Amino acid sequence: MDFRKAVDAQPTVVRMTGEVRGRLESLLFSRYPNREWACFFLFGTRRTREGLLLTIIDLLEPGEGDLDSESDIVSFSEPYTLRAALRKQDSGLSVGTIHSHPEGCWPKPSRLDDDMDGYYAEYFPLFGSSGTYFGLIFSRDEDGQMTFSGRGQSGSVYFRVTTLLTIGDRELRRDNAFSVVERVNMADSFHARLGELYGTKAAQRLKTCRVAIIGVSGTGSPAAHVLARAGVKDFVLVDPQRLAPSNLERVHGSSMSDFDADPPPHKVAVVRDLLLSIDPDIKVECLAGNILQSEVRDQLVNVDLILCCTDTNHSRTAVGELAYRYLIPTIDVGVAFEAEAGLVTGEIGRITFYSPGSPCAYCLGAVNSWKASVELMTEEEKALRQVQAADAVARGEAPNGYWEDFPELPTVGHFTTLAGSLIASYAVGWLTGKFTAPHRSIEFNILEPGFGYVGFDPPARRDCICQTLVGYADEGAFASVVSAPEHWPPVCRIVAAER
Amino acid sequence: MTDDVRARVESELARISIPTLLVFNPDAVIYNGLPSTITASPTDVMVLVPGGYPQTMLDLAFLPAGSPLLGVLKGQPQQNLSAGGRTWTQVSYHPHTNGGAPPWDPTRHGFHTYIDEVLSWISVRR
Repeated sequence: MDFRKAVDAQPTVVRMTGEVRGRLESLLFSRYPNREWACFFLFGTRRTREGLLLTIIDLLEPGEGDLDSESDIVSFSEPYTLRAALRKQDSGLSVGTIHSHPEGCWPKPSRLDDDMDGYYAEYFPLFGSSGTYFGLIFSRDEDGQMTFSGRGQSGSVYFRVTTLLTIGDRELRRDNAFSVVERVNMADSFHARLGELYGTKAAQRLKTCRVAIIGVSGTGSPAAHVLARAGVKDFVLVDPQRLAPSNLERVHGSSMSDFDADPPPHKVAVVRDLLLSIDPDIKVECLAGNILQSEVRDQLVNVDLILCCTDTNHSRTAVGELAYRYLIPTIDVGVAFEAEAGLVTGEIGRITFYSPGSPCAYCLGAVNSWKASVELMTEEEKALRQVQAADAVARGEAPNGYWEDFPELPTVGHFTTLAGSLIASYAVGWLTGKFTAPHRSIEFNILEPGFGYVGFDPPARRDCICQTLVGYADEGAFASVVSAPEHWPPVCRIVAAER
Repeated sequence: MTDDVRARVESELARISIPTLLVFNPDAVIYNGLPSTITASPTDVMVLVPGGYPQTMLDLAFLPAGSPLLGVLKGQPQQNLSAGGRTWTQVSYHPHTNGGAPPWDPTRHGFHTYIDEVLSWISVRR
């Protein structure tokens, strides 16, 4: 392999946890300012329509004698290399190298780096099933500012790292590779108040992040609305539905005139137009689809944060899985109403934070298995099961093996707006590192004293795959917990002024 | 069946010691030669891979059409279905919906655990 000859390298997003990044920086810069250091690392991948996602699972840190400590530059020993190769073979994952350049030096690959990457790109695929190799370079300037570059190869396809996303419990960081120049207008007067409160850096951070909102109805549309006003300039909106008359009461951005069109617009188009009316420079990717679908997942690879606003069992499962397998964090929100004797007795919201290493939806007991199954059935299957349930009753048997009804009260706009705004607030805190929620899961009821606030931090089950497959990405497909049923219509990308 | 689902099902089947067969259109797993205390000869049992699996729970079971176990085991025999070149009869057997098995959890359950439910089922008269 000759990386110098690589042209048209595809963009690659790298994700890692804050914990791994902390260890990585301590290791790489341990011989600064003048001497380099290095390690192998274990990673998962996902090929997308636009490039590749690389998820750093763990560092294979060097022991004594694994690197030449006498040399200023990096030299891997054979035993260390073989140990990494065998780990790759055993795990079914990929292995790459990370090394530092001396302080103040650009992380641009040298001729020696070219030789090293060329060698390892041919060596590691000999072990195990993965043919993918990556080499990353990090460096710091005198002010401690970190920069990086990265490149990789899988078969005959070359990749270049464009973005590094770090998922910490208190902060979500986005760094661009040293060669990537992003043009964002940082100076404006619109976000002066936000800058005064959180600082200029935080206000600028919001302008460089990409947020996905799954479900843009009652809670998703106000969340998008609040974030756009806070300065977020890049959104992915996902919702399969078109606007219905009953949505007018809760979907921010919708109006009576939307129903002049037949059919009425997709919800994602309605919210997109709202965001663009606030700031015409906002970028919005509109997908009429579902989070389980592959095209949607490809778009989520490069987001800083997902807001899951569908309140469905399959979405909750999916975001839990995206958090541990693909290192994509999510704030999930659901709302419910309770009533008794003609009076509303509960307006309840539940917010859950999913990140790598946190409990998944099943650990939290947040999924109803029957409802989840019904959400993914065809209409024909639902009808058939209802008939079979009636037949079972006629035979004197229990019907609930076939069908079970779960009556639910509808939700209304004043409360969904409150819940949507609340998760937008937590999103701002997490993205900027300025504040975090006090608990991993929060429940509240605004009709109870003290808003009926309950916060809890349940541990994950020790043996759960959400703890053992962190960062496995597509290589963890053997334990995937949810998939899109084939009867769903394909994802439709709503472009330009299309509604 | 998507690649992810196939990878998942194949991984589950690799954890089972008895012979199994994964068939397509309709997508299903056939457990071959399961011992039953009710009949002298072993039986095959087919279970469909539902849409949306593994979040969608495994449910129901199919016995070979004409099986002597039909009407003997718990569950109402229902319609026939062709799969894997054979004809099967669906039986209304629902272990994960109040049928004795714990609530479905795709982080724990799959074809590798459903086999235990099926083995119990085929050895108990209704």
